[in-house]
Amino acid sequence: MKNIFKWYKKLSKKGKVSLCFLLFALLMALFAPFIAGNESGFSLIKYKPYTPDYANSNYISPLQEQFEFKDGNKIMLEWSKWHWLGTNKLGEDVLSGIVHGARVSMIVGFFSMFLAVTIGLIIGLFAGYFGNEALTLKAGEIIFLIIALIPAFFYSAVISDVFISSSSKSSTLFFLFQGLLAALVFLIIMWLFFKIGRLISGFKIFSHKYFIPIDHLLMRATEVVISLPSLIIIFAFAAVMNPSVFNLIIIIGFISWTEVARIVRAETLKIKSSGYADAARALGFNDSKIIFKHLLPNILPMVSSIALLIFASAILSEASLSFLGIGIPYQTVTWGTLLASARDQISAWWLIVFPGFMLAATLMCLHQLREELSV
Amino acid sequence: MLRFLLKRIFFFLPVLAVVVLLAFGLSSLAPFNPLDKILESEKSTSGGSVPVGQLQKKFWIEKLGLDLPLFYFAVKPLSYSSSLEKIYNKEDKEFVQRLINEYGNTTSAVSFCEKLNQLLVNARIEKNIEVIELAGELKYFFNKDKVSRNIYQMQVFSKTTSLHNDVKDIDDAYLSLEQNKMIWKNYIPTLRFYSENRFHQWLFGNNETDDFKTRGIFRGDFGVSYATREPVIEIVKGKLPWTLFFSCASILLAFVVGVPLGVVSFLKKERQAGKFIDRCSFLLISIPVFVIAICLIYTFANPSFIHLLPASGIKPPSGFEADDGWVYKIKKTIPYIIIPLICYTYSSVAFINLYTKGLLNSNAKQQYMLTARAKGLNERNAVIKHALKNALIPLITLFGNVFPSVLAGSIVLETIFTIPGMGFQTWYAIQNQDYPFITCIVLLTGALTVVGFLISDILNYFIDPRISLSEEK
Repeated sequence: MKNIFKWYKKLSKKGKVSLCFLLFALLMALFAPFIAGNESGFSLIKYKPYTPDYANSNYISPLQEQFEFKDGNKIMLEWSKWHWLGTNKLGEDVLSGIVHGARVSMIVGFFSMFLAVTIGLIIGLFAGYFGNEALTLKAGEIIFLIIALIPAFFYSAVISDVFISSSSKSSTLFFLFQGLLAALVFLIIMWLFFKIGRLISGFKIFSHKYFIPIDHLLMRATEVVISLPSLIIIFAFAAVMNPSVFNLIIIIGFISWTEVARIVRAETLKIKSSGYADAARALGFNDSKIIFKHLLPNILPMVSSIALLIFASAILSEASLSFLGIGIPYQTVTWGTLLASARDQISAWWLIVFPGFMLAATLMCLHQLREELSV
Repeated sequence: MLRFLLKRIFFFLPVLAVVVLLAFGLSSLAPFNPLDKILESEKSTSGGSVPVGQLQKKFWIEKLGLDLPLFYFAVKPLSYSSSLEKIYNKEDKEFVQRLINEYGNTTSAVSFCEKLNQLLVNARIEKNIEVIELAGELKYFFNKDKVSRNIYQMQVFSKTTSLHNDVKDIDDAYLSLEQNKMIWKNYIPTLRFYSENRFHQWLFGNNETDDFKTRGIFRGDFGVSYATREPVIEIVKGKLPWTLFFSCASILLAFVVGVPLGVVSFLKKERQAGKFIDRCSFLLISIPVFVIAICLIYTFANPSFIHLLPASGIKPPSGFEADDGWVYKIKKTIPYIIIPLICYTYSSVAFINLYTKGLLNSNAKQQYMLTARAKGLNERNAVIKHALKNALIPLITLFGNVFPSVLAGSIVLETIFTIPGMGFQTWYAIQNQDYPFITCIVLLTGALTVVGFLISDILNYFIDPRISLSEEK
């Protein structure tokens, strides 16, 4: 807590402002269902983002008079039911859309960042820590690991098949659980075969040792992913897969981990050759303890600035996709869709200014914070 | 030089391989049956009056390679056989899959399904409603325990008709299913190899000289658009000019404007002007391009505000006359180009400005700048003659990165301004689930990215003497 306070004090004035704005947007995203359109209890805004209000349809500006139908008469709207930021063609409330749009943006941004950083950390740590010479496998182990791929893929697919047929509903959580289970089965089979391979390596024919150039392999893979046209791939996959926020996160996360991996690898190499890693090893710590106790705390500050960049670019990708109407489910209101609705009625300035400001401000604050962190 | 080039090309081969695999993955992710989609479009163009014949179906199946396994190898259960791929009717496939899950024997399952289809066809000819119902129940609501009862009832209902033999066939097929029941085969993994598969056909074509078969992407055949059944490559050829024009113009403009701006903002970094340029660049980088685009449309192409420029399209709605001169045409087109070009360019300008300034900043601390100043050059000449020259090298490397992002940006911008280019066509293809076109776009941008990287490498080779010197060693 004290550290956070210190860190906050170190920021410049601009940095403080952007941090506050981001916190505001995050809180808005977190409590969106309670702020706007909460039917069971108190809510600041009385409207859900995609429920039309026929009395105020057809682009009502926030400066215009607003009405409601009561007993067949058109009367002035009550103060608390006012559409503070106007409505769109169907009379959907813009403010409510912005609040709920913040939720979508933040979810996509945060979780794709989380996924990308996780993948990048794992790959970068492996590449930097093991290098090209640290990991050796015997011939028997290599052969059995390769053979293990066949049953591992097969049985993890069988497991997920069994689950799909046993349950008709397919929620995100269920999908996640199923994926985790499949991965677990995969790993168990690989591990079993690896153990058998180790036994077999006792024979002299299979006992030759090979260096596994992990660093080389992983960094080549990273370079390949860097050279891909990432935006086009995000667009194409979002267009082809089922429109859902979860799929968007997966696509964006799996394409934007490269920079994290590169930085983590470079930092790991630097720290590995420094004195305190050697000291830890001399004290008898094992690899995982050195990684978690010494490497990670030193790497994380470097990663955080890249992570903010990924956050920003994920939000930008999501906004452009939803602006084009690709990849997000029907009836989901985001800043992008609000802006897109301004295209039909270009004189509706409130549809441009408010969502556009939120989007631009969020991105700007993220970039500003990144600048401050990277110095 | 040649050695350097070959080395770089070799370096980019895996990238191309991944792009090709991703594109193929995309085209096989389709949640619908491509055959249905293409036959649907065929129907709609013929007015829906002509029924789709079996021959036509066969033509498209062979052309799309739908009767082949997906890839060179696959991990499949022991019970699987590639005769499953020959069934391309979705309902039949599901039915056979369910039979395999229950009995673990592909050949018997396939023959059972064939016999059942035969019976359904014959029963429809005979108009034997009871048999149709029972057979339909067998096929669409398959229940393992009810099979023998259903077959018995069918035998009863078809005793005196000509369907009798068909029902007997089904009974035999069911018997063979029951006798050859091997469910354990579903749980034994095997690795299978296929020399003839969809991926191979997609890459190299199906090696026949008949002009109606596919020729593969390596020979420039990217398949047929599901929406219009035109070859995809023809559509691309028609749409490329505008996209090329906008992306080349914007990249050129970005460098022409951005680099001098960077130099100016570096030279005047203590003054208000430099700070202003920096702040603007930072702002512009963060604002998404479609927000700026819509704001520009709102301010300059708004009938109720300032109506200076047209909001969309690339030529006057009335079009051009045949005898209009090209000067007239250009004059009339320019207003349509202004806003899109600004939107295409501004973020690259801002980015290149900041990037140049950063490079100059790091170069200014080098020893050679000290020498240049000591030699008596003033700050301006020292920066332009020495620092900028060294800063150019990374700037040129940037070229490779800028190209794909401009192409991706064109999807958004061309859709906003309805420019008939690749980006707008991509959006259209996405809306219409035209997978071959999307695949083609991914492949093309992948190839263009690699070409962009190669060009920047070659330029670097000529500009940076360190590369060529290290090659000669």
